[in-house]
Amino acid sequence: MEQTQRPAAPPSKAPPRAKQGAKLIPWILRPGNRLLVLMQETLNRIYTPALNPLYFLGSITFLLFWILLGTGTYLYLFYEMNPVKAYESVRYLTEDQRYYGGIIRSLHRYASDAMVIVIAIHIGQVFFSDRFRRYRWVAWVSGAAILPVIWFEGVSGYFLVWDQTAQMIAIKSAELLNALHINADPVERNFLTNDSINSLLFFVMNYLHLALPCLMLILVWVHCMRISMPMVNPPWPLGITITAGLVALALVKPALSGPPADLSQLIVDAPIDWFFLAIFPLTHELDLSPGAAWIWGGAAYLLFALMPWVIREPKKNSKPLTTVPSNAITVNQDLCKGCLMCQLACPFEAIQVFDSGDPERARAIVTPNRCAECGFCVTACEFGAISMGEWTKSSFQNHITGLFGGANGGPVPTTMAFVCERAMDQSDFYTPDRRRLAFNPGVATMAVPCIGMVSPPLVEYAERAGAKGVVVVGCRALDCHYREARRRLNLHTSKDRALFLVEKMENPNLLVLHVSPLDLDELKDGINEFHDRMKQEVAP
Amino acid sequence: MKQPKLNPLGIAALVAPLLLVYYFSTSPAYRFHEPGDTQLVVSFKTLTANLTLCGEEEQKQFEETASHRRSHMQRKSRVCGSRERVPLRLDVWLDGQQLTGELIQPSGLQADGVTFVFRRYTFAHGAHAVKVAAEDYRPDGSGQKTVFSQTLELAAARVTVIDYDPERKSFFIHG
Repeated sequence: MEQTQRPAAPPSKAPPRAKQGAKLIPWILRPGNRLLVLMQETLNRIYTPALNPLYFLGSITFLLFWILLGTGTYLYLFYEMNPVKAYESVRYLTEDQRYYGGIIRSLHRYASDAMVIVIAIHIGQVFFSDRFRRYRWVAWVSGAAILPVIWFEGVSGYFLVWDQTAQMIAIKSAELLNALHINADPVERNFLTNDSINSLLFFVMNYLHLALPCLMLILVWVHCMRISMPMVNPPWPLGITITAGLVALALVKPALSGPPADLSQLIVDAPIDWFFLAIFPLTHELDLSPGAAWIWGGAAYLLFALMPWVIREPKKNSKPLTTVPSNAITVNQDLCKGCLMCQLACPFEAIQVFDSGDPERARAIVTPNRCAECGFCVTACEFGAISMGEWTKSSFQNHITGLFGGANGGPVPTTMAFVCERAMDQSDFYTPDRRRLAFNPGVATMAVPCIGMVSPPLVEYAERAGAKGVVVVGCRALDCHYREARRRLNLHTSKDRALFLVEKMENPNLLVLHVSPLDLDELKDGINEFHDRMKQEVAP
Repeated sequence: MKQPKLNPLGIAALVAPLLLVYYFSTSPAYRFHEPGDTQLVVSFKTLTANLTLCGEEEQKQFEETASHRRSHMQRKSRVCGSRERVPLRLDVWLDGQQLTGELIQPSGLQADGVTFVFRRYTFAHGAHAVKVAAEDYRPDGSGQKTVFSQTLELAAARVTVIDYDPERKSFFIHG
């Protein structure tokens, strides 16, 4: 458990539990989700959340892309685009320039392999944390569109070397292409003899290899277009370590060409880069005809790309009731001043402020299919113009005041807890009326879709209502389902916040706990300890 | 903001996936064929005969009127009959055992284009009696037929390509 303001609570000896937050995830993803949480927590212990590579997979991919672009540019300077000289030019780079050209070639190759690993983990993480459906479908589908481009980049790169692996790729790819019946002349006939290959093919492959990264960048732009402030650079300790690791690998095992391609020879054994070329042994092993390979491969790819619509939403009745349920966002245009606060708060660019024609007032418009219903905008709005379902800013005030009214007959609470529904969705965590914490009735509670919506006014409402201290319980670090909770909270509480954007919080007794689903007992200890401290402050 | 530092365990865990790259970037090599295998490729393209030919009258008329046509039309060899071409009957035998016996349609929507053939056979190396027969297929058996029949010493891990020379109307081996 991670917290601000004071040292962590002592670790509990209770066995770890991994059920929290899971009910919001479709059942089919839950086993994978538990494994993912376990992995994240293990790596959090090794790296701390600030450097956990699992939180920076997208930006690590960017880093690898820049390495590929830089090294590829150098290789291009020396590459000869014809079947006779291609092999020799790569050999010159590898052997005659061993300590620069050779390393650069190896870096180019290994960075591409590492990219496949990182992307595979990224896909697994996004999938099992249920971050690919609804308002995230554009990122998923565009990501799926990037995959064949990356694959073709890799395969065409191996082709250009024109060694025996390239020969295998050429023949096997020709068989696959031939099954599409685009050309009457079988594609294999281009690789009949050493004389039947023409330079134009190498020219085309080379320029495709150069042009496709441009297409990839466009797709990456689409991939990120609905995400505000995407991270494109990993923390420098990660970046430097990964780059150094790749250089070390290039020195230990330089990438080498196989024997030159000779179409009069049958390729018996071929060294395979399993990250890019696994499809060829796979089709051979399964004895799939090229046509069947297209059908099965195409069906699997289509299923993958359409996953946001294949995996269904969890049933509503399995979802515990939160105090503030996620709901449709609406804007009261009469109250909207066009201040841009909501637009800045939205993590998915679902709200945009337009010029309404009235020179003194702009209008905030919500795009419903982009809206994650996280509620950031509701509390970000200074003027109470935005509501989520029936909840407006004044509803929060009234509800919090009611929590401290003592209407329940129980002890008057001295602490207020805002709890993220994804960090803690177990019903036994709360009293049946969900107004107090079950393990500590002295703590009034309010479950919200995300702690990113906890704004200075909410903390102030709680204090005015009688809370001596406020606890905010959210997900671990960068693991926020809505991406931006930590940044939003920092905006409110840190000294670095933009003062003109948010209200100032006057020295609140505020404890922010970022918990993992494995930390339930530590969380209870942390809240109890804070509550006891608040009670002591109240006591005369 | 001050960045936290990586500890040695973190560096090791970050570099660990590179061990996957180290191994799987080249290994294990995959065996696509047995070392003793050889491959025979039968590959060629040919224009088969037209499905219906000019009748005698039509041919005679065509020749008589040739001088009245523009020069490029005079060179045109055929203005009568069907554009459609007959399919190609391909038969391949290895040591007396038939590997292929099929009709291959000419390319083109009207089946009036070139007929392309590409067949690949993989088997154990050694001396093999190879017979390839290609015939412009007509039900009455009147189509032109070309046959290649030889005993070939096919070396291990080699690809032997049998092609067709339309000028000589005969098969030949590349290389």
